[in-house]
Amino acid sequence: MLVGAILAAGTWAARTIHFQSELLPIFPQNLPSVQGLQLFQEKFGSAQEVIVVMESQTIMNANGAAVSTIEIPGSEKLESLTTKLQTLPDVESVTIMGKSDPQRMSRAVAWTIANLPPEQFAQFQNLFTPGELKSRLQKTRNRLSGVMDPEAMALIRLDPFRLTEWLEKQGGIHLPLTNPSPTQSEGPTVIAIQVRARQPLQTFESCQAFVGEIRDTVRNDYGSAKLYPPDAQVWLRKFFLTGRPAIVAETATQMRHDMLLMAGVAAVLISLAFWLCYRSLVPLLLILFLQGLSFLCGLIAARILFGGLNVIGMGFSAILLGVSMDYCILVYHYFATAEGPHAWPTLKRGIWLSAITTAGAFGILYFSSFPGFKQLAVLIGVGLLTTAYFATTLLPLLLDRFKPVAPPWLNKVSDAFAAALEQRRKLVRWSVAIGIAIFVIAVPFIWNYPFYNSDLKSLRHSNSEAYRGMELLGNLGGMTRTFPVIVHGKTLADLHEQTAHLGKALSLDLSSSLLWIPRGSYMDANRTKWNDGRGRMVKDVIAQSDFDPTWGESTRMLLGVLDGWKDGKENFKEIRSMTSNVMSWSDGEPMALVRVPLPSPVKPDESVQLWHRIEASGTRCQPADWALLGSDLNQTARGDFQRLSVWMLLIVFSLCWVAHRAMRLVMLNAVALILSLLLLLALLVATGTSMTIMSLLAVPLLIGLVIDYSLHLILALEESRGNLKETFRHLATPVFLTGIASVIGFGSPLASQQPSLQNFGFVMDLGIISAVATGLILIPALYFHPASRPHYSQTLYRAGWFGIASWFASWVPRPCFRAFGKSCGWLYACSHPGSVRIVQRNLALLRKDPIPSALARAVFVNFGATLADYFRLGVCPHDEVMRMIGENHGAENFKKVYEEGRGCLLVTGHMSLFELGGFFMKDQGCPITVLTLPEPSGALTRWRADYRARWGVDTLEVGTDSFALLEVVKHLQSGKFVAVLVDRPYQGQHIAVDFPGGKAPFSSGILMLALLAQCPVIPVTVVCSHSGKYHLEAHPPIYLEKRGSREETVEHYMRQIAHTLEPTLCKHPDQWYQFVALP
Amino acid sequence: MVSIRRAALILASIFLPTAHAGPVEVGADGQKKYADAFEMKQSATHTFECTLRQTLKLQGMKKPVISKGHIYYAAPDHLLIRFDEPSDEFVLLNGKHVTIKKSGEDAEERDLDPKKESDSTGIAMLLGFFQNGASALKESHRIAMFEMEKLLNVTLTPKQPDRRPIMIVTHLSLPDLELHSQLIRFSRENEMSYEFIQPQRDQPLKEGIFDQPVKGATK
Repeated sequence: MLVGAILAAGTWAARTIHFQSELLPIFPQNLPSVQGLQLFQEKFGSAQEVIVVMESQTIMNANGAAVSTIEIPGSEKLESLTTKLQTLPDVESVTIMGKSDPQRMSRAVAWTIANLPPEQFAQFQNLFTPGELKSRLQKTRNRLSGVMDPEAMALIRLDPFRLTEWLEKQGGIHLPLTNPSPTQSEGPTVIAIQVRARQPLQTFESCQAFVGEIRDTVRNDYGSAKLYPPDAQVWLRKFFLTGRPAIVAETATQMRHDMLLMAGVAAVLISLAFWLCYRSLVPLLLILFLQGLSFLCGLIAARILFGGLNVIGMGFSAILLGVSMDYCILVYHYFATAEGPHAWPTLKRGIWLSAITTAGAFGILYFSSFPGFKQLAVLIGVGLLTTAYFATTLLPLLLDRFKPVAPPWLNKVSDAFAAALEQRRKLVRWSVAIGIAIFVIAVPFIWNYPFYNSDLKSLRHSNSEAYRGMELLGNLGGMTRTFPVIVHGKTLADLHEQTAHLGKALSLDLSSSLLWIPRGSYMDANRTKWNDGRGRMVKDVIAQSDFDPTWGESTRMLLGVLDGWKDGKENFKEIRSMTSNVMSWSDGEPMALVRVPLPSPVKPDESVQLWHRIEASGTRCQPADWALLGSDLNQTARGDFQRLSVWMLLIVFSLCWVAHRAMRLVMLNAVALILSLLLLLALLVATGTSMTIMSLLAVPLLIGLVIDYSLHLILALEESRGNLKETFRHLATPVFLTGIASVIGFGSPLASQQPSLQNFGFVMDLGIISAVATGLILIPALYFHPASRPHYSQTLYRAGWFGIASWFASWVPRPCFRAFGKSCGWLYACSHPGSVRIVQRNLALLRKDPIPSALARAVFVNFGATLADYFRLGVCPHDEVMRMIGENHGAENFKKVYEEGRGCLLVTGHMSLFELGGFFMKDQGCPITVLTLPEPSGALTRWRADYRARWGVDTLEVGTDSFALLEVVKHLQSGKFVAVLVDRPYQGQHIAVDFPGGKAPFSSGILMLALLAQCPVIPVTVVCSHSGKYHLEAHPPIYLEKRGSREETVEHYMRQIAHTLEPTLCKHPDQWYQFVALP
Repeated sequence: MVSIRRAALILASIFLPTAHAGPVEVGADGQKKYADAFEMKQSATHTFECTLRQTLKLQGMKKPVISKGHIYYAAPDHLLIRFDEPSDEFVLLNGKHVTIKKSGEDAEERDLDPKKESDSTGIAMLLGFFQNGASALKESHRIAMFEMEKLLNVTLTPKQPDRRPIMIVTHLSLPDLELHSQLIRFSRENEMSYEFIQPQRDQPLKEGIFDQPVKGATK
């Protein structure tokens, strides 16, 4: 039912979800640059206009000779093309841009004159009297003598009455130029045809349809490309379609294609890798099906919560595939290798912890300023948790039916890899240390390396027709780089004033923008006052002068348009649709798009500085500049990174703490994360790659994978007590398989021709390689299990410290010293949770009920007090020691054995102040030798031997030397008492004795010596009471008799001894100082 | 398309209708000899002064506009063209700083922009002729030379077909290679020519002639 519901809802979501190809919605909506650009796109973005750009191209050979040329179509062909475009049903108007069109320009200027305030309009009319015109023409004649600016020559011919000067004084209106300046090159190299749709193109589909219609028409009429050179089969594009609809159509098509390609290739290659490893098809299909279900869950969430998927949100499928595939493969591997039911809880726990931690880490992105990342956070969270659910519930049910079997070679390879890594652990550790050192040294050199490329152009496809067209359009008419600003006003007059104020404040010429901002609704009034027939007057004045009729042609054309306006033949509709930079809010308040020129060449932070100046001017406006947006996004992203990374790390490490409950393991997670990030950075530098906002997804993917791998590996290593072989059998194949499949899957876009996609695939691959290398090599190499380390503190367990402690014990009162010891023990327990856990596990042998960690910590506290007494014992007078002993039971057993003249083996556990037994024995007049294992240093061995010798107790060190054991036998046979601790296995020889909570190991080897020496064994216990006095008890001697084989005899008596010690141990678990992890 | 040589010949015959003999093209060696000698002469010149006659022909004008004045040059980079007809007009170049004064208007001061085509082809180009014979143009222009009795015609045409001016023709008197006249053709029907009358080299110029002579100049 659940699956059916997901399939139904997922189908609905997939069919109705909207793919957002726009970039702006994924950026912080509170940024002025984002708001400005959104307003720009909404009001001025020409959602209805597609522009056909044509560029003349000449291809030269090596000798500089032209071998192929594309020429812009001539006027006739252009007219024919525009006519055909005009006949298309969805086309409202077609306008040719870039080619000199005096008629259109005259219309444009006439429109601005028609919008002049009435008094200025009247002044304009007054210029057209024969006297005024003659006077102006004479002045023009005079200007041609003397100092002459070549550039002014053409203007003078076009504007002999110098109307330009007059109009500029009224607000920067320029007369149209019908000819290029004589110092300028002739003929345009770029031409654009603006095609306007009848309706706004809101959807991807409508954009695609309209763009396709235009493309077909232009292609049929003009051809799409020209072969260059004929033998190379290279085609030169003859035209480019651009404008917002073209960009939307191209981007959305490309995105869908890319996502499908990537998901498809990744799925196929992962499947192939899976099949190669496990030679199993049906389970693979099941896994893919479950992955598909998780993907659908994410899609459903996206549809319900957001209504659509944006560019970043689409990346969720990629991350999901990379991270969550691991869960399914882990479960499959568990079933295929028949690891046994005991491993399932650990695996299940690992999967859920990994899913929750990774989802938590991504969840922090919800608080990012970027809505795109908010979407990603939710989708990843949903996807990971549902995959974890399916992997731990549905998949086991399904796999249980199919009973998959892993090929035997997998374990062989895994074992070989584990063995190789085990042998080279030190090498790997040293390599890591050296690598970090090199990285630190290299930091000054790579500090300025562009790890992140904030240029939004990097998101564009390199072969993008739409963006290439946009760039060409920028060259139209020698445009200079401008900073677009949307100025707001309460009325048209206010808008004009605001814009003029902006120009003054910036000391910049904004006349080209002011030109198109009417100062009010004066057109109707002016139209009635216009006196037509001025063109004839101009012609007559020219005819009477030194100039021929071509002079003043533009003026006559302008007057002709105004006459047509007066007669109702001209309504300026085309000009207004093409050039208007004034729009209105719904309440009628106007706004204008003003292009502020930027100095050339444009400096990198020019836009930012200009915007600061604009803000300081006090003009009511918003920026609509992409360069400023890039800068703003960088700043916001940096702020977000600083703010969120702290929380993300906190969440990750808190959840890791929940998983491990050991600082050591959490730190290993942290180290893994840091090392993998460093590795990624190093790989980026080594390959000379920068991340884009798209490939930045590699970082969360990396975090997700590293958390996933490290959690599983560390949990497995802990479970197997650092057994690499066992761990790798469980995890190496799934991790490697997921890693290699993801590398191939994400690497598939590398084969494409799109640099932005190639960068995405490549950076993702680098991230995955870093994660897999960290997971399979660095984590196991850096991991250490407490059992493989000495159970004592290597820092504190030294002769020097013992000497100092002994000195303190000589003058600090015993209660104070014991309290100090207890404090130290408590601190040690708090800072060494791993050691506490070991003690907790050992104590679990003594009870059926769970052992609280507080009891384990109490062991350390008591041990502190015992140590204090131990040092006191070495320095205090005999009487004081005797006062430390409270009750003693069974002393007669010693005497009895001693009087028999036989040696005796005194056996006890690591209980309380067991060294006190030696003192007591000597006090009873029994010679005693203490057996001890070699201390970490000779100095400490000597210190402890000297310590015992103070009250006449000998020390006999036994190591691997078998002669030392013969020495023990000699001591026993000579009638001496030999004391030994038996509750810790020695050299792997032990007997597991049933205790309430499990099987407790007891060292059995020593009983062989007692058998050899034919001496009795006396179990002894020492415990400390609440009053601080020690109670000693010597149990009745055990005389060893043969009971079957030697081994059977030893086992029998060892069990007897263990059971003799058991009640005391169980009664005083907090005094059993068993710090070594028992097998 | 009219070849450079033919164009130069036609221009020379139009420009110098009084020439008695037909123009003779100078070979590569001869060109180098003349170019080196002219460059040396110009480079060695400290001051230059002459009367100037400027003729402007524009498309659609029934007769050309003629202006008269004086030109003053002082090495390394001072150039002044002061007009008498019309009066109160001058253009002054001190290094890269140019001051332009039109009759009845305030003077305008600015620095020349080498990237601006009109700046690099206007007075700056003229200064280059005085400094070193406009050797900088050798890279970007094709050169043809013709001997015409007592004059040497040096014709420069840009290598890039879309560059303006489309032709610069300089006439030097022979054998002393003194500046005689210069024609700058901006397009087929728009051109400006200078005649250098009574040139004088290395004579002391009036003191302070290149000082800013303007009040209220706009920057």
